[in-house]
Amino acid sequence: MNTNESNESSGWLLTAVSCGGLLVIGAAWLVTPAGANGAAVTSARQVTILADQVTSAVVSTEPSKPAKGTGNFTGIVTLGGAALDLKPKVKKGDLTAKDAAVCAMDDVPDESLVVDKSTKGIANVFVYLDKAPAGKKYDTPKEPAVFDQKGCRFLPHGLIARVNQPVLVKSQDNIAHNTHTNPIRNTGFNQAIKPVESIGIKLLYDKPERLPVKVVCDLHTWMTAYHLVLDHPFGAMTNAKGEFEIKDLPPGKYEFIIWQESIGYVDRKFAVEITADKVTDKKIAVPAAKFAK
Amino acid sequence: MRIRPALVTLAAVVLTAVGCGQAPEAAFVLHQKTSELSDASRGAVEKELLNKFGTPHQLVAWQKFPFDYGASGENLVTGRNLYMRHCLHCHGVSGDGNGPTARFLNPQPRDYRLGKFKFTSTKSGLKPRRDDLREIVKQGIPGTTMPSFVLLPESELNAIVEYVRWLSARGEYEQKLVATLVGEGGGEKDISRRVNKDGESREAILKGLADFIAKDFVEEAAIAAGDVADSWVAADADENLILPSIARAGLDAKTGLPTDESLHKGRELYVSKKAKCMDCHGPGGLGDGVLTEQFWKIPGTTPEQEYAEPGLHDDWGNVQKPRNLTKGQYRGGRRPVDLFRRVYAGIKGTQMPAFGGTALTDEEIWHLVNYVLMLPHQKTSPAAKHPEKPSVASTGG
Ligand code: HEC
Ligand code: HEC
Repeated sequence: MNTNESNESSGWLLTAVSCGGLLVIGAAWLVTPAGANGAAVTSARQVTILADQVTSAVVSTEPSKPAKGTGNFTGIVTLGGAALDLKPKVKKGDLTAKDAAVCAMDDVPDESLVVDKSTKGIANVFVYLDKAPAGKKYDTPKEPAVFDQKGCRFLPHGLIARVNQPVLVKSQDNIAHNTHTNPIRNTGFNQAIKPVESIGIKLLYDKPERLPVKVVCDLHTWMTAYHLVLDHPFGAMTNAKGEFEIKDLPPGKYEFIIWQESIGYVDRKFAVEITADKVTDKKIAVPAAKFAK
Repeated sequence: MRIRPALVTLAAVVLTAVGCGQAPEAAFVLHQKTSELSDASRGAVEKELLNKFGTPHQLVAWQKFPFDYGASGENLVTGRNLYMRHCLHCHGVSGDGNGPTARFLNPQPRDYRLGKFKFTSTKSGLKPRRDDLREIVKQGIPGTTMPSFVLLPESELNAIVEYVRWLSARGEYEQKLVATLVGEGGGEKDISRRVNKDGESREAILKGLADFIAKDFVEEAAIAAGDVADSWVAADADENLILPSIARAGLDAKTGLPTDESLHKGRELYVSKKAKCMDCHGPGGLGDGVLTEQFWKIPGTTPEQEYAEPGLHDDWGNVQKPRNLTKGQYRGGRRPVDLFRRVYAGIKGTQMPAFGGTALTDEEIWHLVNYVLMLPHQKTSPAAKHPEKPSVASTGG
């Protein structure tokens, strides 16, 4: 053992925190469950499922057919109740806005809850599997994803990137932005993007993330977007009408995460059973009360 | 890139206990976020930490946590002893920046547990090299209470650095475990909300959590350990060291001082649309840019919450003023290359972004460095009054 040991230890023992901490550790251990074996857990539903059966009526565009032997999961996420009236984050022509010449060229909408007037569908909701189906590996798409900025707004507002698929950060604005993320697993990114960056700066996520990563620009406080990073293709974001489609799932039982930026989980474990050569369609309504501040 | 096999051999056996003798004993404290977990979730985190890192008296070396802490297990014990003597009263037993004297200090001592360090020579987003940590401990951080330990022998400095890395890895690991459990719905507040607001059954929630802890948690913990280890290994990789691609630009061949032209370019860049240093540091470099008056959202909050105070914040949640560049005091070192690296990679854990390789060329960064280094010597700052008219009246000195 180290020779410094004896003469040094007494000094620092005194400064320390009480032994209570250690006792707590012991106690907490006892309540750690010792292997609740294989019991299937059914999560309580947080949303109202209006129709549980396979229907494709809501999807206005004809759903595509799944590849042979696989199934598709489609659906619509709607707001159950009146939509909130959200003011634009920057009003067109507001000269007091920061960098108004560029940022107030147009309204910058508040995209924290985007609801389609006719379908009541909520846009930009992520529907995805946390992990790839057991034992499966999927190739990284060759094409990079493009993440652009225009009028001091990120485009798109939500993006699904695959692990190791480059995301090219571009800008059409004639001022600098910075693209700043704080992911849980991946290295954080906080990079200045020069005006009119047309080639794109490479942002690479080399690990999957369980939840969408928030992206901000510190130079323009209102700018936000979300990146979801998956190591498989089974994730989708709802379109402007609130619809989503996840293609070619191997048949089986799944639990999807449904996540929306203002409320977080819409559902942690949305159970879906996929059958070969079929489309499974779900309607998911989120009560408006959930969005009340 | 995992490094396990090669390095595991370096790891000593579990280091045996240090005589404990008199109470009260030093103990690692839980992160605030850990204490906000449900009982079983918190227990799982505590168990993992104890298993992989032990206690301050009984350090568990890396054989259970896959990365190199340098030399032998004894080095870590030496590092700990030195840390307890020199650093603990500010940085705390757990490296949480919350030692007994911390509450009197501003800025607060660094909380190592985020795994982020501000003043590094590595590329954007990356952890510090060993050299960076050693340099900081050696030089101290001017303008803060972080003292210089220049008188310690190199071997002791090295041992302390290893212990800081170890504490940081422990803390970051804890936070990652907590994030995993919070993601699974293990936060006590979250559970109460689901039970009271959404009408879910508490039993069902706890059962789901117990099931997760029993089945998947071990694997998630291994992934988290690997991520932390990877990031420390990456920091020491040579390709991640920032080396300017050209020697300091804009110097007069005869005097060796920055030329007027370079200072002009620096000034123009400083106020330019493409660098926007001014938005934070202010037109005259006083640290009073427009962004210091804004209110900011707290990162990682869903739904979004705002900080109570206006102004830029660092990732520890402290208000962080952009440096007043007219004072000539630089926390991360005052050599031109230090400032080059600050601008190239940004200041990690803060809102100051990385400019290198994206917005600015290496040459442009040098002009900015020249300009910044001149600012404290500019007697009156005409630029402060006329930001739109870049003017560098004197060449400093
Ligand atoms: C009197 C209080 C005090 C003591 C003693 C002290 N520190 Fe610090 N330390 C600080 C403060 C304050 C900061 C943060 C400065 C800042 O944020 O700019 C800091 C920051 C640091 C950092 C972060 C550097 C970075 O790049 O982010 C490291 C590493 C560090 N100290 C290591 C040590 C070590 C090792 C010791 C003991 C050998 C030690 N400190 C002793 C107050 C102290
Ligand atoms: C988004 C705001 C922001 C922008 C833009 C910004 N900075 Fe900073 N800068 C900061 C903050 C905040 C700090 C203090 C960080 C800390 O110590 O926690 C800082 C610190 C510094 C320091 C002090 C480094 C040290 O070692 O003490 C220098 C030099 C600096 N910035 C230069 C620049 C230059 C040059 C630019 C433009 C290319 C720039 N900054 C752009 C926010 C910003």
